[in-house]
Formats: sequence, C-alpha cells, structure tokens
Amino acid sequence: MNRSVADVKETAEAAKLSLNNYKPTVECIHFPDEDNESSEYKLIELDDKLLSFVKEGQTLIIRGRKNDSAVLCSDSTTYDIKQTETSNSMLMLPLSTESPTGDGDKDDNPQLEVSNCEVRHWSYVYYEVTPRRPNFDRLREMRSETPYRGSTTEDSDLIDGIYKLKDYLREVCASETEILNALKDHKAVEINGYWRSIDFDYMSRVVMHLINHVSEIDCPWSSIPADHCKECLYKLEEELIVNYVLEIFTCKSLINDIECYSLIEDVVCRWSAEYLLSASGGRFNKSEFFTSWSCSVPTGMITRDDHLDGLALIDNTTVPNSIFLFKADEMTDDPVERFKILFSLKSHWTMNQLRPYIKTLGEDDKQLLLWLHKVARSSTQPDGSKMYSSKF
Amino acid sequence: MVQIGIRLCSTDAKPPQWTLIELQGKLDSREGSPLLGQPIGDLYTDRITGALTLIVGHHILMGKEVKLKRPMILVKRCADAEKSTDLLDTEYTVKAVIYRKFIFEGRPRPIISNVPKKL
Repeated sequence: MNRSVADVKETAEAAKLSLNNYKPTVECIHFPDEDNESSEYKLIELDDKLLSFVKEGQTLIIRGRKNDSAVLCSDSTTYDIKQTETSNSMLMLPLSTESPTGDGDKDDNPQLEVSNCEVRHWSYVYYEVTPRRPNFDRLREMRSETPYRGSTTEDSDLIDGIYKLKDYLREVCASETEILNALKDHKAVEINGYWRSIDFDYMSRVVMHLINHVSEIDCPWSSIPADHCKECLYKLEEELIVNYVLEIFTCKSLINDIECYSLIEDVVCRWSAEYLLSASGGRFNKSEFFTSWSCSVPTGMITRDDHLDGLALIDNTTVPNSIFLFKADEMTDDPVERFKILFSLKSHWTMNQLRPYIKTLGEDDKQLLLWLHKVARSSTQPDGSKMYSSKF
Repeated sequence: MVQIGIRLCSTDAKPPQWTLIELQGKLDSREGSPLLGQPIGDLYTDRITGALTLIVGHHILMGKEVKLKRPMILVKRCADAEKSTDLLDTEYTVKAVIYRKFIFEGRPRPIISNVPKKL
C-alpha cells in the first residue's frame, strides 16, 4: 500500500500544509499487508542495566511457578514483571534514524521525497519491570528438607531430598547470583554438589568440642593455636563439619607468628542462646534463662540483650515473664504473611523490637516504615514511645 | 516452573533501533474493515522546530519527539526449531530497541475539504 509523491501532495494541499515548512522526507506509515504474527510480539520496558545485559549477548529469564506472579531475572538481579494497559495506541516501526530536531536543510527547495514505512507491531499493552527482593521460601524448604547430620547417618548414594544448584535454579524465582548468596547467607553448605542446611544439634556438638578444647588446653578463647586445634577436632568429627564450625565461629589472626583462631563473641553468645532455648522446645522462665545463658558462655564473654535480636522473643504478659525461640531467618519472605504472624504473636511492637524481624523487607528504616504504614497503625504510649499494631 | 528466555537473535550483533508512535485512543478504519494493508497517515517534521505533524484520514495531529525515560524492547517468540536450549520452555528474541517515541497528545484538528470558494 505505497503512496506516491502525488498522493502525498494531494493530501497536504487538502490539509493546507505549506510543504516548505517541513523537511523534504515525508514518512507514509501503513499497516502491514499480511498478518505478520503480531500476537507473537511483546513490548517490554527495561532499565539501562537490563538492556546492557541483553545487548552483551546474555539471556534474561522470566520465571514463574503456578501460584506465583512472574519475575524477570538477569544473572544477578530479580524484577517483578507485569502487564500494563494504556488508553493510547502504540505503533512500532523503523523510521529514518535522523532526529526530527535537526538543523534546517541547507537546500531551500529540495524535492519532496516519500518514505513508505510499515508498522511492524501495534498494541495498547506493554510489560513494566520493577526491581524486587526475591522470595526465598522455596529455597528455605529445599535446603532444610534433609539437613546434614554427618556422613555416617545417611547412605552415601543419597539423592532424594537434597538439591544441587541447578535444582534450585529450576524451582526458586530468582537469579543465580542471588540464589547462591542466599544459600551462603543461610549458612547452607555444598556437600558433593548438593546445597544443604546443617542440622543444629549436630553443629552444636562440634561447637562444644571446640569450646571444651579451649578450656582443656587452658588458652584464652581469643588466641587458640590453629593447627593444634584442627588436629584435635579432626580426631573427633568429620573435617567438613569442623571446617564449617571454624568458619562461622572463629576468625584467624597471626599472634607471635603463630596462626591462631579467636572465637567470635557475638556468634558464640547467639548460638548458646539458641542452644538453651531449643533444648526443651518451649517457653523458658525469663530470669532463669538469662542466668543460665550468661554462665553458659566461655569466661570473659558477656551476653547482651541485642544478641537475642531476631532470635528470641520475651513475653511480659505471662507470670512469670517468659522467653521463647523465634527466629527471623525461618520466617516467610511474603511481607503480608510475615506481618500477620508477628502481630498474632504480639499485638504491640516498638520499631526496635520489630526491626530484626522485618529488616530483610527493605533497604533502610524509610522503606520499612512504608510497609508499616500499609499493614499497621501506630499509637503513642504514656511513656512517649511509639508502638505498632495490626491494621486488620 | 515455567522459564522463558529473552535474548538477541543469534545472528544479530546489534538489534535495530525503532521508533514508537503513540496516539490517543484506538485506530479504527472507517467501515470497520480489517486494518491490514491500510495506510495510517503521513508524517511531517517541521524543518526548524522539529515538531511533528501527522495526517490521519481527515484529521491533523500535532506531536513531538520524546526520549523514553526507560528503553523498551520489542521481542518476538521463537519457533521451537530456533530455540537455543532445551532448558527454557519458550524463547523470545529482540527485534528492536526503542529509545524514543513520537507522541501525539493534542486534540486532532479536522481537515475540512471542498469548501466552496466565496463568490
């Protein structure tokens, strides 16, 4: 359906356009002659980073499980992707690449030229992307399905209930880098290619060997000769779990030219609290717990209230006051569900109490407050402190 | 889990740049005939200001070029035979990148033709 110069001039005259005001090339736009499978096209709005990723030759992947909304992933970032309708028609076509806001043509009376351009796709919908934190609920399920308890406790050819990275990639709606980082953040370990959680009691056994070793050789917990320590521990437990515990619970340094480990006070105190609270699986008398806890850690270590952030909750409504294990790490990544659970446990929270349990939902307090605004109402207590309770 | 890939065409080093033309409302042909094969309009660019004029049927639309805040890509689904890997359920390849749009937001001005000359 091509228009000629004569066709264009005729239309211009009827519209009373002075051709001299315009650049000599007129683009005559038309629909394609044949069905070019318009339904197979999609228009997607990206950001500069995603576009560069694709232009480098990489593949973006849209992932979605049956009950999830879809996400778009690069190798290291995840975005929500959703369809947006506009009331406008959008036509997409190759036009001359010269920007309209060019200088006026030097030639005062150039010949009119007609460029016939075919619209390749037209639509009133497109896809928008928004960066998001992935939901790792499925990852959490997978890594803790069969926690590692030592090679003697399982068949060497076990393959059920344990997962390799490619399995996580198939089931978790996130980018590969984010999946690997989450596994490491959750302290999962790669064993024979399978990423798994370590059973807490199994790990605790080895931590106690380590603490006992320190008192047996009667050295400060901040300077434990490394080689001797490893040698003694390897005699008691598998290398894998010993190395795992040393990695998490110690840091290395050189003291008088000898490589030494130092126990990390914060890590040991938090572990000890979890160990005591999980032993009976229920609620503890608060003051009894605090007494036991401060005695349970190596001499010289001081237990602090903030060691319990995101680990345990104190209930001042029971008589006597009680404390129970409640781990932020094990909570769902679904923000609405998470708030529902938190408010059902305790009706009123201060921001300081909430923060350890919601800090993964936002980059900073400002973003967390946005969430709170959606799901909670605030009230000022007689002592001036602000408390949050559920809106629903 | 469904996995859909979006990538460049394997043969293309660089996808072409296209333009998006945005018009208010929907385009319909007068008698409701199918749009395929039909002309849409003539697009003029003002020599000095760069302002755009589009004649669509019996209307004149005024518009301007706008750089998109975020780039867009137009992708097309690959035939199964053209897929690069079995790990993905579907693949789309980038047909064009769009950095700018011509937007026509003003009220269309009707062209009144065949006005008889005053005697």
